[in-house]
Amino acid sequence: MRDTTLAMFLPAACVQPEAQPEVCPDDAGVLALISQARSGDMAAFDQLMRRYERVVLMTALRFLNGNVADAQDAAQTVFLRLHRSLGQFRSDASFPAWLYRITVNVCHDMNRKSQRRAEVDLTGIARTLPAAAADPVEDDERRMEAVKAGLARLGEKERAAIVLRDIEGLDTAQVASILGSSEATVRSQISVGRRKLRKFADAYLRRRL
Amino acid sequence: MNCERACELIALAASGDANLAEQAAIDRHMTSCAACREEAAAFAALAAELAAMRGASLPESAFAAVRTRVAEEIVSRRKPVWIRAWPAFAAAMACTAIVVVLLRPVTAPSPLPVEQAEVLPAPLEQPLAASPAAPLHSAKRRATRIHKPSEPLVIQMLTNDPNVVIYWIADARDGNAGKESNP
Repeated sequence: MRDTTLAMFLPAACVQPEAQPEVCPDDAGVLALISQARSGDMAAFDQLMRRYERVVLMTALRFLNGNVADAQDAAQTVFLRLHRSLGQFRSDASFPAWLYRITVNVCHDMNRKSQRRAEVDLTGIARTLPAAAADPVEDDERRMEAVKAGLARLGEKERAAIVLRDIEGLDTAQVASILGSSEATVRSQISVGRRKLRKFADAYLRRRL
Repeated sequence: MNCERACELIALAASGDANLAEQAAIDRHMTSCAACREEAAAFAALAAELAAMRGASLPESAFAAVRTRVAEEIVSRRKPVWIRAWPAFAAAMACTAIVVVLLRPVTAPSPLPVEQAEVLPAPLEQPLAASPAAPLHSAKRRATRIHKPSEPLVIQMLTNDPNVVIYWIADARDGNAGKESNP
């Protein structure tokens, strides 16, 4: 239980609001690491993994409804796929965007296979949790919980757009590139996703009162 | 602009995704619409909550576990195919051996009816009269001789009358040749 919901209930100490998005520019260091890893240098590949593991694992965690074990499986698949296809990477392309695309595809595959959806029993939660929100900190935590539950209920494409744009902090053009969509489509998905999320969060909190 | 359209754009504008024209239209609408101003505040709060998730992380051990699994898998894939496949190959060979042993036809050697016939290796040049005089225990000993496939079979049949002995000579290949003799 703890594993499956860890991401939904992360301790406050783990949250760093000022943290920058993990989209590093494709500097010469990354390209050199890619080149060395291509020629079989395992240490270089390990450096690449360490540099982008947070991006991959945390993104997978958000796509897979906070299930840590599934997110680790997805991250393993992503890095193995990356290792296998390093030779196909063009040096003029964006490496982080490529990695995001692999991650999104792997997570979509896993979700399709398991048809996983977060099963949030609002009635059950309303029965078991305290009704009032006397403490503002507690209120913030409940709102955050509502947003995470709502995120898990979004459709695949809307969730992908929201995760990449709002949580990972990529711009609309990057999200469109990763998802293989037009910017107009992504803007629409973001707008619809945010409105659904807000409605869901409001309903979730009303149920708890 | 009606409130529904304004709400679509407000959701986008919360994180700066509305273009200049859209933002101007939203601003104009909100000057006269308190409900949409509330919507804008709520979407801004939502955007902040989503951005706050960006810093969430997992224990270092979760990342290390992934690195270890990936490295092990890559090293495993680099081994030659025959090394990676030897356990499966050994298991397949063991299964084959078991199947062969189980399916092997059981062929027990049939005992030679010594009392009825005896096999001699080509005794044609021997005088026919000499054989009937031989004692029975001697015939039993001779029946244990091994017949060579290159030699013709000679079967000597004894009768109750010691003066009558029947020889049957058979070619090992076609088995058609035969000869009876009555002294």
